Amino acid sequence: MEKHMAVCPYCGAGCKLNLIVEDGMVIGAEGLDGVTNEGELCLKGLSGFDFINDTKILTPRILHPMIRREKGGELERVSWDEALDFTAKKLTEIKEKYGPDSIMLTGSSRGPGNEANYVMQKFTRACVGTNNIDNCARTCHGPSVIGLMDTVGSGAMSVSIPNMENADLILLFGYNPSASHPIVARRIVKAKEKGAKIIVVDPRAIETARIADLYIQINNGCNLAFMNAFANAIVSENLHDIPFIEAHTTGFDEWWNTIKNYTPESVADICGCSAEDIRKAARMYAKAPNSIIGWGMGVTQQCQGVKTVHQIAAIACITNQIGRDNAGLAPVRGQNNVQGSCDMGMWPSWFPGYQKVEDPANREKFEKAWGLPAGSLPAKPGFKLTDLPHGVKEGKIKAFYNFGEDPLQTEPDSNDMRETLENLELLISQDIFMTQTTALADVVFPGTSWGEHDGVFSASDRTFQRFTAAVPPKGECKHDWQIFSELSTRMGYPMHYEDTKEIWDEVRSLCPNFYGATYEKMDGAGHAQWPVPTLDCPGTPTLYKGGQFTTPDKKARLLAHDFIEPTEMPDDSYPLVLCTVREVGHYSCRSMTGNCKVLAMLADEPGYVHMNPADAKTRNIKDDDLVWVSSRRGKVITRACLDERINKGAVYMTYQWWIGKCNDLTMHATDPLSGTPEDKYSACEVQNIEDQVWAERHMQSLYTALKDRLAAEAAPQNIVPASEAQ
Amino acid sequence: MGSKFVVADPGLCIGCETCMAGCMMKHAVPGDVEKPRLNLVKTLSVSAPIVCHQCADAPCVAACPEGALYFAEDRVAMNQERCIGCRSCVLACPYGAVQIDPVKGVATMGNLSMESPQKAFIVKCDLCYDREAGPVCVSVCPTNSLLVVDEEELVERQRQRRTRAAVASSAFSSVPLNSEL
Repeated sequence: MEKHMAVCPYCGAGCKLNLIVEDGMVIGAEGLDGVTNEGELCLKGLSGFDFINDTKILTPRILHPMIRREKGGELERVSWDEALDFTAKKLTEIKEKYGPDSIMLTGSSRGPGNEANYVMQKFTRACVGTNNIDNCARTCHGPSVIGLMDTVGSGAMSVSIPNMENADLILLFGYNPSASHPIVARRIVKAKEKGAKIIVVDPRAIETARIADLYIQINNGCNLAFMNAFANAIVSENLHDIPFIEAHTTGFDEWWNTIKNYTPESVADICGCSAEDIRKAARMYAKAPNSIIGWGMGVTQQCQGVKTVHQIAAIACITNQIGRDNAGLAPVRGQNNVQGSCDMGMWPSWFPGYQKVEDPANREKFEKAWGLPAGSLPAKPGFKLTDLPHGVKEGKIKAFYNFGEDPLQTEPDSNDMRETLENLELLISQDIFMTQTTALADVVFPGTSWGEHDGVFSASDRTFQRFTAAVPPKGECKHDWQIFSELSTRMGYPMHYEDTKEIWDEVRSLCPNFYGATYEKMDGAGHAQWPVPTLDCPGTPTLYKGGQFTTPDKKARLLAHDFIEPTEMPDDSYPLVLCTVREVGHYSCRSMTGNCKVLAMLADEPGYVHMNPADAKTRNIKDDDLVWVSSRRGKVITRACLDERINKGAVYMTYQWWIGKCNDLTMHATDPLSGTPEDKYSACEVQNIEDQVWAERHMQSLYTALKDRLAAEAAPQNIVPASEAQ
Repeated sequence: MGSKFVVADPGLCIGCETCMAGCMMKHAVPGDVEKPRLNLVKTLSVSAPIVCHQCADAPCVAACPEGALYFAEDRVAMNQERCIGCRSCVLACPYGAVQIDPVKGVATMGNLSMESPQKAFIVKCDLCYDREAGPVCVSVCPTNSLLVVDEEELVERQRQRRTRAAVASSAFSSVPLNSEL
């Protein structure tokens, strides 16, 4: 039996663990004493390892490169040389014919790690010659990153996960840590045990609402109105810190000019709560010695996500609840390495380390480091991930290189997304599983899985931690960074790295804030929290100490905006609000967790639509019945869960299900400032199904057919190419 | 008497099902049924896994006509061989903590192994009696919301509560108590 140190690949909590290996198979996981998890793991960390072993519970792993010689033809297993030559030729042709900006790429915020992402963005910028690179933050905390960079300067948590338990007050706004990050929820429970006050503001009575000192059940889609009123209450009751505002912020008068119109009384109807509750929450937050605001997708997956983040940051600044270990901002990131993707410049306007591509000095620096002629790096920010559908429709995007994501499962309006992917001239998918997206690809590159490679992840609170390989790569799987390097070399920009350390050292040399995060510092259960500007610096758990913001003038910018309604309001045909949320035992598109035995046994298709018992009763729906959920985009079958914690008039579906697929229903409307989809609000209807026996059979047949189709798409990988046959 | 049981503190429970995952992994061995012995229940104000209380006068034991459930030293134990799958125990248990599952047995004849007919299997908490560190659910719970309650724990809780009650009784003393003490 061997043990190999790793960091959990599910969620941004950054839990350190050991993978236990016997006879070349991963057979267990045990918590290590990491800085965020202190030896604890949740169910995913504990039992989410066996997907590595190719269990084929949901879909097979990809073990050999495959191509489709003709659009719409069958996948065919080929040698790596042939697959890379084929892809290099296709990409070069598209680049020559339509220009480099016709090629779009997305990084992977999941298992691959920072080094693989860094090499991919280098390939994108230096070899392809475009800034068309993005990552799944676009779909989740993109508005937090943008909104915080606009206001306080750094697009990340200002506090660390361990310090959350020492706050005097925690306000959770549109964030359900128990489902998204159980190991962060643990800190909130600990804070409560230590005497902290807890305020929960959420349409659902989430787990934390049960231990809250104040729970405010708000209407879906009212966030900015609520936060504007919260700010109004603070100032109108003189709870703001005028000396701090004068010394460390700009724009207060203009900010107040908008906020003064939002008295709690004026928006109580929009918010669905009492004005007094808003005032009470504001008083508790402002008066506590150290308050933290935590928020999640409930804030960001809305049409005013960035604007709401602006307001949350302003509230922390006007009350001086920022810049201390136990006071600040906590946008807790969803995917395990989505912070890392952003850190590595998987973003259309930033080089690694949040260095703007539009700044000529930055371009010059990267051109020199990457051995490129002066003026060769593109200055124009590229497309966002959510530009893909209309970019393809308008003929601007011709090729898409998908790295370890499954947009057909995780992006809104999947029918439209399918059409988008089918209309590309070239779709490359580099993944570990035959996902629904990979099944459409013209080129399938098998990357190594988490557990088969080394690297560094960035936890949600800016903590860099190393993880290591536990087992050798399966089949012909190659490390992701090797695939990018070999493809780049074939396309005329040679790249070669010996290992991830060599890549990481290049990252450090180019990103001043990461320079001190050496592999040595991160040995074992070690870590380094950025900014780490020097080799001596142990890391920086808390940002903005002493009111020193990381904006150009070191001051926070206060920004206020008027509230607008969500895009698609319920009506007679679709009277319910659909809000998409997360399954505690599954992760992202479910390709990994769905292939883990215990997790698949605990929760499987078609998932649930959670609804208030009153809404179920009027529709003649019983608990556990199979039901139809429909919207203007589609119709899916799922199971009803009658749940008292759900507010009337709204229903909640988790986005992990491939049959009960909520993204067949959601709408491609985005926050114009970030391009983030409004997944938390669209209109739908739920209908009962009279014949439950038929419904069970129908659901099962859909599930079996989907699994069979994916297995059939992967099957050609078992046919050895003639050139390799002995 | 002297039995122990696992119970959840509903304030500390975050409803994450890690206990259930740990339980399933513990029971994922040949001859056992890979199903959680704890079942997470969520109501408006409570989240807690519900699990066998190893009752001192267990209705499941009384209801079993075959003696498949019986009292061991510190728990209600099971003799799977004797279970006939009548599910009287399921009906009797006030906690809904017992389940009967059909399993396929394997019979061997020389080198041949054959699937034997369905066999009934009692799925119920066994306190991980064969695990040195005690119940796995208690070990894996990330918020330490589960605990093993034994005689000692009960006595200690009673003692604390009696002390608290005694202190509170000063409020209705018929003669004023010395407040300087």
